[in-house]
Amino acid sequence: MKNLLITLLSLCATSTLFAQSGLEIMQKNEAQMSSKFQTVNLTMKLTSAKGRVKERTLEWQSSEMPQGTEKSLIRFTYPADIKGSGLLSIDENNVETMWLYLPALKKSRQISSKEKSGSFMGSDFSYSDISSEDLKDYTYKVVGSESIFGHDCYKIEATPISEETIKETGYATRILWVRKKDHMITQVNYFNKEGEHIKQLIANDIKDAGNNKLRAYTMSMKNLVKGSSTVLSFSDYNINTPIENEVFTQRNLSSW
Amino acid sequence: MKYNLCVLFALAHFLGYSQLKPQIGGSLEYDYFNYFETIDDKINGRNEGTFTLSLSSDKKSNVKWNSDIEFRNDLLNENRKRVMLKEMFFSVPSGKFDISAGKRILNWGVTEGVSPLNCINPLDYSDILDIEDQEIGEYMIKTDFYHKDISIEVLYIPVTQYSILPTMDSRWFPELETKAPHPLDPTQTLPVEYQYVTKKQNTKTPEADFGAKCKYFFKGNDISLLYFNGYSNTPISTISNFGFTGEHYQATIEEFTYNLQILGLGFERFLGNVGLKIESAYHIPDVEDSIISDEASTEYIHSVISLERIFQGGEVIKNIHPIILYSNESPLDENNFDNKDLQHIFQNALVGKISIGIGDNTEVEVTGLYTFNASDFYMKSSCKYALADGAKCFVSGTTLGGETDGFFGSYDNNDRISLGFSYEF
Repeated sequence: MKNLLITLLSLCATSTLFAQSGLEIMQKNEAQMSSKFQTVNLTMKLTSAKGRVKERTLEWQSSEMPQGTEKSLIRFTYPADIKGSGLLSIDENNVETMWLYLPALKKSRQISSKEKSGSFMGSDFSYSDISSEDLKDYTYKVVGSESIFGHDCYKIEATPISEETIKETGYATRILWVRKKDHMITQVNYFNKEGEHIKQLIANDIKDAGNNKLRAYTMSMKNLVKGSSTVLSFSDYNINTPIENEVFTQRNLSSW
Repeated sequence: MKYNLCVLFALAHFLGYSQLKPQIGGSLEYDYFNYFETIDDKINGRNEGTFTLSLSSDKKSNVKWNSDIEFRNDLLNENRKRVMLKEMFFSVPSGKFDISAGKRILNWGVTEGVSPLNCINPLDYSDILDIEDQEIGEYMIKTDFYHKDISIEVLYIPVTQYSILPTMDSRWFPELETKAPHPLDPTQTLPVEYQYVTKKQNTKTPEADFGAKCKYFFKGNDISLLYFNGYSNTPISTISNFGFTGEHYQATIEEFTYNLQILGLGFERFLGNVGLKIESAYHIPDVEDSIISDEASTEYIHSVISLERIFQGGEVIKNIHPIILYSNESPLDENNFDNKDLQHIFQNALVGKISIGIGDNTEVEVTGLYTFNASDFYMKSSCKYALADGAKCFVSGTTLGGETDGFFGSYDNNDRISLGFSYEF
């Protein structure tokens, strides 16, 4: 009986250790990814299951305030039929509000910030894939160690704490590969509630983007169910150059 | 037109922005449609090409200017041929203020389709069902003030523009009595000839509009309050000078506009995944009763509530976006509005719209409207297919029906099918 108790206690301690270790790794990743201000240009290449290719270009500006307020503005610059369309997101005290500006409508309007599982502008990325992750919403467990693209990586299983997060994101589990040397995520496998592997993200061309911050310059997301894929190519990173607060306003969103 | 363009470029040069590379864009569209039923002496279709050229300032520049010029030609309908400056304005930011001047389209409403707060711009009703691109720009001076989550907009329109109504050869021109009883022998009838006076006559002067809107964002709620004082953009047509020549009757159709005040409230927020939008506008007309009907002087409240949600789909059906909207007009006296009055189409109406994204390139949309006051309806189904980036082809079918004393019911022979192509660059 005593032995069994010791065994159980040690098992709990081991799993807690792994959980903490997973969380610590993710905290280091968060520290690497965080920046008070960031501006980047993106080219989004969408390839359908039938091989049809579409391209979008956009500019992305974001800011993170110490008190937890996150703001971002995404503005499409190509092609012509969506040029000028903008998406403003303000996350204040864990309440996120999003506005969409469409030049044809000549006004900005609120859109739902709850449907995070929805496709981001028709791509294979969902809104939750491109949003920064709240570490409090998940448990992170180190499940192994593997070499991916020549880099020694931690293999971490991320599980949402609440059903609400599963519903919002559409993912029941994710397996993340985090590079040991710099804590950058290089691959993510996404699983739905049925345990089906539905998507795969590969981040590569990771290099210094300025201000001692590493960034992936290419991210590709494969939808394994649909057979489509989206490649994001990043350029002109500008990290921690202050962005005026005025940028993240409906005034600026609608001034295109 | 040349003068307008010269003014724009001179202004841009004066402001010192000509050194910045202007952005050039535009669109090309072809529309063809045909009615299922042909009506003699009416225009029974459209075969139309539209080219829009957009010139604007560099988006990185502090001062912005924008202009849209439309060239439209229709082989079947002379009335739709036009070269029109849709918008041409500049905007200068100065601290918490934006000052802008020029011709522009403003959208003050929050709801889609039926929006009582969209009272600034007149509309082109030459084809009543063609609701896209209907707004006509107004020349205005506008100042915006921004402070935290509050914005205040004040505008002055020196000369009011008016909505374009269907001409007598249009299938959307209201049906008129073509015969009237003989004055001496009521058992006999005589033909009635109409003369249309397109010059708008106002019951009050001067012809200026002004308005203000205050918008406040508070904990997920977008709240706006507005005041408008100006002219009704949509004229009222009246039949006058009903004279007898001995062989026939002669009548004159005249258009009148009247002074109007609007107090409005707009509200928008998300309740979970459901978007809630509410608009309410209190209309206070100032009409000389001797000129226009009693109904025109009736004060009323027009309110609209809409709910919408986007459902994410799967592999084939990508997303489904339903919107349901209810519109109600409440007169504040015993007068009731005519069911066929263009200004009061949505007296007691339910509108439903559903957009379905299929695959990567196809969008199917169905819109239905039913009026409880007139028991008539309108339904449109359309399908758009993206051929390439910026290029789309589309096909649609429209049907109208119901009681013939209703607006939509009175056009029950205007069912039609259309197809087209558009390219944006």
